[in-house]
Amino acid sequence: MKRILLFSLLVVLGSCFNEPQEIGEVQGLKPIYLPEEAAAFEITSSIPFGNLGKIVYAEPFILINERYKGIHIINNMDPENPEKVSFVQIPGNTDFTIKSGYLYANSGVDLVTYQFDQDFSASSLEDFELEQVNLKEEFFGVRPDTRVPPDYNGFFECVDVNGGIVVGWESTIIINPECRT
Amino acid sequence: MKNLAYIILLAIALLLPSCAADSSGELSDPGSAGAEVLSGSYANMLTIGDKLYVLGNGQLKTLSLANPENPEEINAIDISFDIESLFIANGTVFVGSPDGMFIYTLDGEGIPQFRSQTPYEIIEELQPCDPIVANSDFAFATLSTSIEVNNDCWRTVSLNELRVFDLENLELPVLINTVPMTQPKGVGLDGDHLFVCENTDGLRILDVSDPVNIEELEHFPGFAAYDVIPANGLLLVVGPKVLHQYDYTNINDVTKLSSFELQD
Repeated sequence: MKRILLFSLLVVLGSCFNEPQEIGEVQGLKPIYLPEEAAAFEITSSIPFGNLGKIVYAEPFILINERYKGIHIINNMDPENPEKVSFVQIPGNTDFTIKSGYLYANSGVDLVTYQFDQDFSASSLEDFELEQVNLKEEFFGVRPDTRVPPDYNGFFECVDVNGGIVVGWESTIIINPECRT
Repeated sequence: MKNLAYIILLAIALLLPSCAADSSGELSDPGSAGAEVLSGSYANMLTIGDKLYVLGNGQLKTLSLANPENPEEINAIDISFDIESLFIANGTVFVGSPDGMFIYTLDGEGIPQFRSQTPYEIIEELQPCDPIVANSDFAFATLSTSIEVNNDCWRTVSLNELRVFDLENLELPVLINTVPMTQPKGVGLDGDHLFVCENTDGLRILDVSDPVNIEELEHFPGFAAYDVIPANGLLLVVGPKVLHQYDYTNINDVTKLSSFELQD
């Protein structure tokens, strides 16, 4: 018995010694969280811009994707003085396009269709309404396991289950990461 | 040496998802009845006429918007899992991936038909994000990537250039020019003028009327520029924090109209 214990101790030690030194600072991914209370679609007053993505110009409006969160709408009637109008909150959104009064956007792997309550080209977007009229679930692929970054091999920051909903991953520098795929 | 190979592989693995996450192409929508909708060069959803084209899950999908409330998938083409940018002009569809450019033409039903796949012929480890814009004669792709390798000393492997392809034969686009750039990102084309975002090195305006002899008309350095939309004399340039607008009605006297802080 003692011998077995000693042996397993040696094995454990051995595996420790085989570890690639201290991992230290490495490049990896960290989860992007969306607070749960913010996870539903809604239109809010404009929010600060952060990680900006796709941009669309539908004169006189400029729409800019805020990665994984939704779409900023800017009134550009006067290009010398653009104004923020509102923010359309769409969890997991990275891309969208608009067409004849409809907004087509991804929400994670889902394709969502929204209808503007007026012609989008109308100039009074300050008080526009958007209604979700269609949802195609998993249109862009299978809903990923949000505990690990999809299609990825490498280090990442472990998901904090209390951090909110994981809507994406971004590159970061991690010190001694504890999770990897 | 093995270690180095591992680090390089790791760096590539790490780069890939971030590259894909940055993806997104270009939209011009001449088919729409209402106001023209223009998009920056990072796109993977575009509408042309009553069709919606999307990249996703390695496929180029076509949806009918005959009933705009309920887009209906009518076609799906498997391309490659790393496709990341979509541009459509004059019935020609350009799909960018880190290692090449795919070209389709829209048939009478608006369904993309494969014409060619042009590899960038770069070393496999470099995986550039590559927005593409085009007119009916030439395609312009910005290739930008940089891999940091740390093995005792830092080493950077980079590729930053503008590539110009002659589209006379869509079955066989010919690379006719390569122009070195700082770190090109989003790109926009209006007539003979190409607008290139240089990431942290601002914006370049190029005269591409002679695509084998491209001339730089202007370089506005010193700010972050990620994507650009030329809109009939009004130029929108976005960086991570600021929306810049320029008047380019006179291309020889491009003036800044505003810089809108996107962060409160």
